[in-house]
Amino acid sequence: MSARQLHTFRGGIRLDPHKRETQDLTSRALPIPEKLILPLQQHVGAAAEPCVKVGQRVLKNDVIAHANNYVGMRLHAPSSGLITAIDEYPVIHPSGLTAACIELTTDGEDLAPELNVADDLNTLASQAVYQRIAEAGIVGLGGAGFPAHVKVLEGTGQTVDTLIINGVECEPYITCDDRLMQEYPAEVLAGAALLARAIDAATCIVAVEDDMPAAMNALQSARPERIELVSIPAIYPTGGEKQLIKVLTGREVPSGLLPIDIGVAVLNVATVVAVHRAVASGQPLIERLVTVSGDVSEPGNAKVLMGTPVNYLLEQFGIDDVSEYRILSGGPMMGTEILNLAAPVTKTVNCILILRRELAEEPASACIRCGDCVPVCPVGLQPQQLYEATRTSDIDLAQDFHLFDCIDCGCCAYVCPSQIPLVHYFRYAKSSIEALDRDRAQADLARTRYEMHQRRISMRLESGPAVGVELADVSGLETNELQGDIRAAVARSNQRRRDDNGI
Amino acid sequence: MMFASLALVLLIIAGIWMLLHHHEPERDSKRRIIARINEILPQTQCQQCGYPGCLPYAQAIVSDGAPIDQCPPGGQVARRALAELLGRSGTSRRRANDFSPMSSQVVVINEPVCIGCTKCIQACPVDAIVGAAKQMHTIISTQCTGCELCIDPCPVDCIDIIDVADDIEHWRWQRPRWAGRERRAGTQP
Amino acid sequence: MRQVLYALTPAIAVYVYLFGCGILLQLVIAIVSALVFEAVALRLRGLAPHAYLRDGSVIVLGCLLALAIPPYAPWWAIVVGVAVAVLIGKHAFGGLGHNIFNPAMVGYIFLLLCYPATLSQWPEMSKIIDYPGLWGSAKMIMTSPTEMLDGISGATVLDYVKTQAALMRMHSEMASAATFGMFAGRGWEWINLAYLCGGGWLLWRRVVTWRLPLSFLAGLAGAALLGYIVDPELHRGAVFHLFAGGAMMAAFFVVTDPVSSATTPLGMLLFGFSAGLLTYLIREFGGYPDGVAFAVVTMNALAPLIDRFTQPRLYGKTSETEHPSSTTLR
Repeated sequence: MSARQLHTFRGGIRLDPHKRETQDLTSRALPIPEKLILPLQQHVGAAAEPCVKVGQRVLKNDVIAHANNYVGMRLHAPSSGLITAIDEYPVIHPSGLTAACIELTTDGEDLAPELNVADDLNTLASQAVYQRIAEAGIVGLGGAGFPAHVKVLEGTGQTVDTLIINGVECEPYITCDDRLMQEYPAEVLAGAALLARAIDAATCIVAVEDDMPAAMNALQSARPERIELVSIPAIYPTGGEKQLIKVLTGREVPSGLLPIDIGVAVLNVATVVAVHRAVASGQPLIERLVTVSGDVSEPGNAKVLMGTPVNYLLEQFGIDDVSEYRILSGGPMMGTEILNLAAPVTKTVNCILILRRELAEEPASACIRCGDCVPVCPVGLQPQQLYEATRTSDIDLAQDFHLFDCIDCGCCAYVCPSQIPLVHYFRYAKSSIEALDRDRAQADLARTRYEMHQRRISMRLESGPAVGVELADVSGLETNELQGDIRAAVARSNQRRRDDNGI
Repeated sequence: MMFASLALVLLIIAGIWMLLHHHEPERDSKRRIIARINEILPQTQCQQCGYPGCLPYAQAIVSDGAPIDQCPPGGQVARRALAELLGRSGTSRRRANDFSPMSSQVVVINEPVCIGCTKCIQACPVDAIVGAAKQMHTIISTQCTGCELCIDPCPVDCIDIIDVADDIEHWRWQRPRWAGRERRAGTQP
Repeated sequence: MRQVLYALTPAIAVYVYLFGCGILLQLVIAIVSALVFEAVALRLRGLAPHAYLRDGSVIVLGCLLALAIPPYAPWWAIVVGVAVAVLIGKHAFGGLGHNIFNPAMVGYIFLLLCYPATLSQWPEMSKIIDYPGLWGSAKMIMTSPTEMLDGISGATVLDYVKTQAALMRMHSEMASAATFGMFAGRGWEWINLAYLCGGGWLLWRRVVTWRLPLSFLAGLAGAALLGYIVDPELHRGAVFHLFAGGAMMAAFFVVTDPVSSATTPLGMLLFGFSAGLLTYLIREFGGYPDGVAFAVVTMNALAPLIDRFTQPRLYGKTSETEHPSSTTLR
């Protein structure tokens, strides 16, 4: 363990980690589910485009959807089988709406073609590394879903002096990264070294929370070379990118900028393992570790294929009746409620949390301006002022108090004595402002088009009828080339006009 | 006593100064105000305000003193922004809860019925219809503002208005209901 | 809220010991009228009364006001004070969470300005007198007899000090007066000590933040110390001021009202310190013997301004304080 001097970030709260339930249990492999539902959007960026047809047979690891642009991501078949549909399916999203997905019915044989193993990792050029990462469909597995190759590419283009591997699972209950580090420590370190070399980072740190001692021991036993292993205090949300950078390096990412802009790259430990597998063996991202925990009798971690429906996963863990429970994707602080259990596990799902519904949820009362929320905010915001602004839907005031710097961590709502759902208000305000901005952009576009339209009309009027579209005459058409149904349509339309005008 | 009279004198001087410095905006700044009003208006060019477009309405507001609440697509957001800009009554801050999306509707052409007469193309104020004489016409739905001006001219009645479904991409968080407010006497537990 | 009431019990016990049972009746009247006026206000505003009454903040309000006025004041004094505090001090500004001024202080100031004589009739403690029992107290409070109980028209120690100073008497000359006790005003020192104990318990239980009470006491003590150093004959020392009048009660029960105080960490320190300083200035140089209520109310008015200039540093920003560009302060 390194003797790196740690800093502290402002705010944060200590939570009951609830890690003992699952951190010592070996992760389970599950039988292949009958159907796999693969959403075309499992990442930040434009949705992928399918490159298979319904009825097509695919092998495991085959590409089934292409990335649309630079910040896009491909999709691979997690097992062999038949493409049975490309349609709207329920997905894990707070709206409960559906999204476009590819449905793969597995044949149970799990046939896969030979993988493209790399010859020598040490001599692989950065371009080649980036290429393999992009081809493997790897996104940030910590929950954000940002395409990994973009992060690496941005890293090769700019000076990165510190690469941080984020093994800090600060949310309670979640232990999938913990188990990953305990079960595959060599891969974690190999992946970290690979990435550090590819982006030419002088320092490479693997950060582990201090309530995960077994993971730290496993990493140390794997004898890391030139990689610092650092144990950091378990204060929520120290696993947040910006907070982690502050703790490890003392540097702060300026508001509105990215870590890369101050020479730091942060990647989740599971992403790094996926990167290693992709670069070394050509294995695309088709499965991940998911924690199943909460108020259940047999919690644990499982190796889950992408596209596994949540209800299948619950069934495998012996959970059947969930009417009294809330099912969350993610942790208790920032997780999304899963409204339809047929929704699939995707690349960004790290935990399925089953919590008993509170019998009587304490309703929110008035804000008494106690100020308890101010010292806990890790960003230095004033939640009670933001609440005042968002409650009255005052956009300008909300932005004065830096609404968009909020990381939705939930520390403020956790300590609020009036039980105000603060994060909910902030999310409402943020999405309203984004929608208004989208509308403003659309209105600007419409105005430009209108102005061009007017200009074109006036130009045509000036230069005479020779310029422009030849105007067709309806009456001419009626007598010449009209088909019977068109005549009927015109008659219908004229009848409607007569009816509308009361004739 | 002395302080009071001094304060009074200062106040009078300040008042006179403010009166002298308040004047009508000049022509150039009038044009600027019209441009700013036009920026606030939603640009659907639907003519529901009674003027032949958003820019004419903006001009009418400044020159003819047209009322600022004539724009249905702009809704409360536009009204409040105009009130603030022009110094009229109404709150001066942007509010999100009166937000109404600019196009919750778009039009769609029923292509098998279209006869290629270009009447709708001429009617569209933002050129969102693509086509030529005796060629198929189609709507560029991302540019359509839902103003409905193309529906009437169509001789075969093949243009319909449809609601833009709320999809995942455009979904927004709803405002949480504050239990306290709703707990009025007798209405909610 | 319940814990705040528990913290008041030591002070109430000392009150009873020193002044008799009058305070108990005042408390009862105060609590009952507070609940009644709160219910009336909620109904007028169209809010469900039972939901809001449960939170008990109005009970604390009533108790604080009852403790601030003389224990044998007539019944209508506490009722009027509570009415003003609840209806004007709290609900006219928007109810729970929205009042700008501390409601109890609003009620107290109203009484002080409208009925100054009634509010200065504190029982004399320099003599040992027979306080009426429960029934006697009830008779006094409810019927406000014209003949005063012997010794009721006494003044508090702060009052005494002020009037004596106006007569140009030095402190060393006053020192032997019977109004002075062991380290501060006789009797009042124990009341303040009791408030301190209750307040300390609240701090330990983390019911109130430490920033407000400690900065208030620091401001008051610091200013008093400075005054004492400058001229011990004209100004009394820090210990005296800390245990005189309503200092301890204000420190732990009035200044700590979250709604009317500043909300940022640095702002709380400034708020409390300024309130303490202002209390001292009013006591020494102002027209009223105890300046706590006025100091608190003045600082309440300045709280939004303090908040605006003491915002915490945003992660990633290098300037120390961020000023919001909006003109709205709350």
